Amino acid sequence: MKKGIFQRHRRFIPLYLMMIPGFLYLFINNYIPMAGIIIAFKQVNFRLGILKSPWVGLNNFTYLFRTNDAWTITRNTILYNVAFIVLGTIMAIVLAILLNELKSKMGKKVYQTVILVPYLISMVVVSYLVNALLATETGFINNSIIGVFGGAPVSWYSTPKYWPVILVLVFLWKNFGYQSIIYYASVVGLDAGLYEAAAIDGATRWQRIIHVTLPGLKPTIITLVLMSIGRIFYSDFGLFYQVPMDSGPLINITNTIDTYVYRGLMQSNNIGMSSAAGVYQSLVGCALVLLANFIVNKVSKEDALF
Amino acid sequence: MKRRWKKLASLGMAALLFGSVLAGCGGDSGTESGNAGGNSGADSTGGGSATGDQEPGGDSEGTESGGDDMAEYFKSKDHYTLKVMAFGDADTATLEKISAELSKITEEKLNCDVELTRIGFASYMTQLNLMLSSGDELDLFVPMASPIDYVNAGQIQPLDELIPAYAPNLNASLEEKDWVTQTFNGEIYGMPVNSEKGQTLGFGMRKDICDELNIDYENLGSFDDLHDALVKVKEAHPDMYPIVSGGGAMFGSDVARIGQDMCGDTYNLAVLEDPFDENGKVVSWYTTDQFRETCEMMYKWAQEGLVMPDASTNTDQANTLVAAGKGFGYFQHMKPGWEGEQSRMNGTETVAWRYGTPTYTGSAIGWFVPTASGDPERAVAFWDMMYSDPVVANLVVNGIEGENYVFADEANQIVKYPEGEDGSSYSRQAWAWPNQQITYFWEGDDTTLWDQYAAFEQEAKTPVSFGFTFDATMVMNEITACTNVAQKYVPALLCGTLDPATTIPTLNEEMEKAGIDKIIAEKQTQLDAWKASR
Repeated sequence: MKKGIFQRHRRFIPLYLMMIPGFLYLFINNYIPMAGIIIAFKQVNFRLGILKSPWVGLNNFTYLFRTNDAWTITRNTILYNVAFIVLGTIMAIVLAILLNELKSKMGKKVYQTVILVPYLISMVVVSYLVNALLATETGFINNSIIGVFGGAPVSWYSTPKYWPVILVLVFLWKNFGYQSIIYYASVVGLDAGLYEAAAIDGATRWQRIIHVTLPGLKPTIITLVLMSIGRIFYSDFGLFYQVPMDSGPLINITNTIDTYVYRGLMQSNNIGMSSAAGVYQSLVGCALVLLANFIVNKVSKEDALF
Repeated sequence: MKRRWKKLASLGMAALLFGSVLAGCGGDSGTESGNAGGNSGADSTGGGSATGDQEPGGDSEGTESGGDDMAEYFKSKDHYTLKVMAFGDADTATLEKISAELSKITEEKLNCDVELTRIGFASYMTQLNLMLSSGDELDLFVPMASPIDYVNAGQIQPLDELIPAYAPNLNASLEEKDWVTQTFNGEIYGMPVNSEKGQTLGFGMRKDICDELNIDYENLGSFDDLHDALVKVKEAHPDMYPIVSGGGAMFGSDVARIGQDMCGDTYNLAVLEDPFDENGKVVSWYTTDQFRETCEMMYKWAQEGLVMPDASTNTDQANTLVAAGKGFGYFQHMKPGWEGEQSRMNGTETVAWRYGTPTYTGSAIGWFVPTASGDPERAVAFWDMMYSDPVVANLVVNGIEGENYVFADEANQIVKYPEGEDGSSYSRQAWAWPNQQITYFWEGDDTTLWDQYAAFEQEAKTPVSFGFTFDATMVMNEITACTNVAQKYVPALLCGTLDPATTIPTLNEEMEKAGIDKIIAEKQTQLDAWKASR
């Protein structure tokens, strides 16, 4: 005999109740502002108000595609994020495993704290740390490294070719500690019995890592990577705006969608065009998440998000 | 099923983690200064002590009678707090004190309080745009660039009717042509400040070093002479940059003042190369010889080490660098008394070499009332008080006597900083306030300064396009695209960081793609129509 829907789900009621605050938060913070999408299709006049401002169709979008801007910012955003995801994940996992292998409790605490500190520093401060290294005349690298070896000083802030490397390094330095702690938590949670069994069977330390730890981490890795792919079309504003010091010659290589929107709004004060870039970001971002999930579905069905 | 739950749970956990990362952003840095009522202590600028004998700003009779009617009218309205914003640094405690002093006066005349906010130059534009876009309550502000964007976005309101009704002193003291610079799309939006109405180009430098190296700063004949002088500075003081930029801009922020006429807007894209040529055609500034030659000169100088490295990413003001002993000189537009004003900001005596033709600009600076203002009537009325009442004008320009300034010569109304004060608690930007000509002279300023202003105004040549404003709504897409291109190359070119031989062709190619020709054609059409209608 089939039970009614209510009866079947009755025991979940407390869980549903617990979800309410989260849903409310999502609704207020993420769904209501979506109505603002109409700004992208309007020429906003504050005297008329948003709703009464004239519709301009896709006019706000044309400037994006008039120059190579749309292509440049899309390329930059995606390539940087791919580099961040791949290198960041690898570094974080390696570090998590190394932390796990440490025997000294004191050592673990110290390392955890030390690698987490950069994550807690504000990007603005980071940008000045980078500046202390890279400033043409007073920077550490030009003065103490290149200078000692007799090379010519490099004008870092006007030479775009170094910046992909610099930005990736800064990102990794700042974030790997935080990510590795998430992985470390999973590693610690793995069944100790598995390790013991492997050890009894004569597995070396290296073999234990390859055959026990990594497979154990797989669900966490896939979930975290999928989450970051979901945000692949967003970029860390501070990293791309503050760290290069908003330098003009670097814009082609450091402009991402977020900095583009910011520059658009702050400098030309055109809210419609900035929103247009935002809408573009959301659409392409959404398409990418669907694509990534589709691929995961093909490769390993049970790990897909939906 | 079980599998699915597990997956969702791990997803939820990961989402939480990322959520906590995101939660870190937000929060704004608004300088909300609390309402400083009940400040009973310092009261030194009594109403009687200030002088009204410097004559500008309409007759005082009118003020009195008009003021009474207005006071009655505002009494009948609800009490209000006016939020006023201007640029320059000031600390919160000083602002609260000045706001309290101002409120004492406005309480009586306008039945309102005043809350003064000041934001440093570096972040002013950003903060202002943010406030205007978010609809924050703000009643009066002075912008740093042309307000045409604000007009087009409806962020500020026309004042045609409010000015005659609530700003009688301003209304009485201005002629027809003084409104020209504040009129957009046929309506008056701005209240022009009483400052110099023209400018010339120049290079300012430290006098002590000029004297030391026998640089005849007044009689430099050309850029070659300037070059020789800078080389001398470089040799004698290798640890000092001969030329510094101000906030990443070589020739003044935002607006490159090299001699072109921006012709009705401040985008610096479609310009008239010669401001005084009656038959001049609108061209892309980046294709002009003037632009190319300037970039080539700066590039050459930068190669010789005469320009500070990283000039286009420097976030310090030129004054800061000179004051710190790191800079010798900088380009800026000039007016009479420039030396005195800059000497104060640099903390060292500063002199200037002026070049180019003195150009009539009209009252370049105006104050505006945002659409979001809760009480535009009082905003205009308070502006008129800053314009005509010396007590109010001195409060906003100089601050509080004894704290921000003391009298150096009371008989001649000359003031100076008190011992141990250097203007950092309330920076003095007299020219940005409605009427500096009814405030005290600063020590070192020439007391004939206002006469010099008048003479300078007579001498200045009026550009052909004076009074023309460009309506950019038709080509907004092109302007945004072109501005994005300009941003990549122009500041670095003008600072001599990029090689003009390779960069200018790239720049122009991208400008063409971005549609600069359409902007030029549109502006030419509007300019021709405007000329014909005159």
